[in-house]
Amino acid sequence: MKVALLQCPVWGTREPPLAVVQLSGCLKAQGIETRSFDVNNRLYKRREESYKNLWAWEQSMFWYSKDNVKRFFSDISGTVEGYADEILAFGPALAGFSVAASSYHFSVEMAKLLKRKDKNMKVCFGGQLFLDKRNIEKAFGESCVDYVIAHESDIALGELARALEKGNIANCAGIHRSDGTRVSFTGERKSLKNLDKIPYMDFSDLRIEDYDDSRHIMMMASRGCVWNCAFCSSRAFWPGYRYMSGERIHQEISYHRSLQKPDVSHIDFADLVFNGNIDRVREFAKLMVKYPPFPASHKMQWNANAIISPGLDEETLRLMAESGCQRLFFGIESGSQKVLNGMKKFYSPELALDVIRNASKYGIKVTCNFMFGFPGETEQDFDLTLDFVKQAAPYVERVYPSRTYCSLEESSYLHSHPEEYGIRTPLSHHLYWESNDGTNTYPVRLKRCQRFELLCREIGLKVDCGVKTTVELDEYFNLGHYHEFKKEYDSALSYYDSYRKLDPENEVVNRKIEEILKNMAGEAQR
Amino acid sequence: MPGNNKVEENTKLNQEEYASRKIVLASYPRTVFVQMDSICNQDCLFCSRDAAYSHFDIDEYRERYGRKLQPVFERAESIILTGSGELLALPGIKESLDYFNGFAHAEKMFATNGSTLTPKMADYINDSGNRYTIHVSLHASNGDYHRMMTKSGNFDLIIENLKHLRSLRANGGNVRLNMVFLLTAKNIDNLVEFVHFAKEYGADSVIAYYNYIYRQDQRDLSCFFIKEKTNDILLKAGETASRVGMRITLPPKFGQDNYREKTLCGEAWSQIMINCSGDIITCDVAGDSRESILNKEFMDVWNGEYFTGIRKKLADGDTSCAKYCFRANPAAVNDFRSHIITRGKTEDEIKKVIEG
Repeated sequence: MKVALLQCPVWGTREPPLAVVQLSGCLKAQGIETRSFDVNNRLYKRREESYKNLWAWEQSMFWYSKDNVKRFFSDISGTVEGYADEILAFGPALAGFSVAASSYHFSVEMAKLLKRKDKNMKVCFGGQLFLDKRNIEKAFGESCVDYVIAHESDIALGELARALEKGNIANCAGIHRSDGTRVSFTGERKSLKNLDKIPYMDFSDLRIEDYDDSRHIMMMASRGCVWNCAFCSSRAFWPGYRYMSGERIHQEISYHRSLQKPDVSHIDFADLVFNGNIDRVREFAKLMVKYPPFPASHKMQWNANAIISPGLDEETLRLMAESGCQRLFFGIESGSQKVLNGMKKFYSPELALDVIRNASKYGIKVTCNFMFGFPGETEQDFDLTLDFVKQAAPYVERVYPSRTYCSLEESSYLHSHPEEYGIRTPLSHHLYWESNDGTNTYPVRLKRCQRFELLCREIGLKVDCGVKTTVELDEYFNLGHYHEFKKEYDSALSYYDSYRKLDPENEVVNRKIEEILKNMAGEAQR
Repeated sequence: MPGNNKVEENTKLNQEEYASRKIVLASYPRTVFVQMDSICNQDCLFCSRDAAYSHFDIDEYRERYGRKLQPVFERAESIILTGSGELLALPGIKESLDYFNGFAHAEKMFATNGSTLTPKMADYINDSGNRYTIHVSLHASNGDYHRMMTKSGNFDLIIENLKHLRSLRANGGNVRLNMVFLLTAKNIDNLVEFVHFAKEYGADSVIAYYNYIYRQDQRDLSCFFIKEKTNDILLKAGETASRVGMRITLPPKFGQDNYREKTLCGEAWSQIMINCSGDIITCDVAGDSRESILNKEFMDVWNGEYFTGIRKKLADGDTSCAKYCFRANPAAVNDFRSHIITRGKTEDEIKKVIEG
């Protein structure tokens, strides 16, 4: 049984897709012949001028529209046909798609194309998206998906392949399937307990040098989080907190280092939180100091997401810095204790300042993320955030203001408890939601973000723009989209027009303008 | 081993049973090979690996066979950790080694390409209190030959690892180091230099042997087609080793008049190899085995149809299986078939490899 693993657009292009390289390692360790295909990166590399911004995450809304994607797929039919032939030449009996909301429609089109060319090949979709059972039904409704795995696929996908070989998947837990009329489930699969046993990522098909940043490796050394922040959706996919030991992390890094050129000298940990267990962080840091991965002349550096916790004491931060920790990302989000409590973040702004100060003392660069307009945040609360930034500025390398300001992500506590947070129901839009009293709207949140940025510039603090285009384009695009959503077409047109002045060739915006003009003409006729 | 009655008694009994050509044994094997397939970070010219194979899982192994193999490991003189891929690259390898280190009386042996024998791993092995023999499979004494043989660029890393191991061993410890050189038409010119290299890095011994051909495309790697040159280099390597004071194990030369007589192969009495699926992996020339300890007790396999059949054949003086085995029958080196791994191949497939 051969298995093809696919990543379709849109997805990141900075490094090989983590899910695919991890799954590839897992399947190969199970003795299954596997090949990975990053359709996303290949299309990105060959994108044309009119589609050049499609891979900017802030324009990912394009990919959420079935019509947009179908049109795009049709525009590049020659190219994708070629990819499909290449995939099928490998001879897979099963194609596993790593699917997110942003890659869903393209994955469906690709699966349909592959099925047209080889009707015997089975298709399995997997990813966080399918935590919502409606998405499982939707996928089966596309008539090209045979199986869906909604939770961890590390072992499940390989076992599915083996079960398919034997012709009976009934005993393969964790698989959703459809007989065309009814969706059934083979039963819950237990999560992997011991992450130390997970096979290494496999970069043999997707070479690091083919990606935007060819000097780093991304690695996920834990799953889940010790916290359960109200706005976070990722936690739902990874219940609890499981982690690799420091020893295991060090072993995998040393292994990849033995395969790559010395200039691959950076590890980005994709863990939701790297310091959920501080003992493993200390163990890892000590090993990196005592046994630096070869060659020691090219010291490995690493970045990680971290939570503010007392465990990040001065000695630990010193050790982390010595071990190559270059940068820590903290989701500070707010300077108001009241807002932090609402977010279910368990630290005080004072502790945050201590940790940031100590990290900075040992040369660790600190990035702080902030959100704007979390439900319940008043102007006074927002002012506390501005005060916090002023105090933290000497110790912070840069700030990262959320460009979605405060999004209601599916599977998050916030999304499932809007009443508790005074959010108007029924929910209108994950970005454009409003508070019951109407004081917290998308434009209000955007304004706070702008004020935040202005302050940062005034005090000389670097602001990570966080977008692939420009902040200006992003704001025009989002405000255009917001007003379009509100059916305020004049305003929408005005913002899109502003966008067009800066980027006249943009296919997406030009089409939007056409559509709005058409809608307006239609309404005028009525 | 000294002081361990179970091992001593088993060894004595096993030797007696072999000497008296017993077919059904009361003793356990003295050597246990555990096949621990792993990921690999090299792509050697001579590799036997299929495109895909399952990796070893210590939890699965213990769960399935821990109870059954406990009395075997308790009596084993040596546990040889073998298999495809790079053993030390197995995620969680220390957990696996910890398990086997629990049988501290047994000598442990494994092979590595050296890249994962990092200072951390070497320290761990050295500190384990177990006696280890490590075979570093280098097949080359410099980066160019090494790259050609392994298609990897990690020779410098290996050198750093060997330097650390050398310093560790200079301070005593329980680690023996053998350097392995697989002889092929591609690298044989480097053998004499390799002896010097092994001396420089403080190896206890150099082990050179002919590569086995697994696939037809590996046929031209065989030294069988460069007999005179091979003999000449083997001679020089032996002389060099003797001069520099390095122990060396060399394979039989080609076309000699005075080969050692066939010996009665003792492997069916003394050793067993078991993989993670419970299958008994046999000696290549003895034929495929369908034995497995998955659903049987160990002794039912050890004294089962397969093993008793081989023992009986050998005890009755039938050494036909040594026809293609130059370990038991050095003269077999002159038959090309003895350079081919025939396990799992049909006669037609073997013929194709032989004829090229």
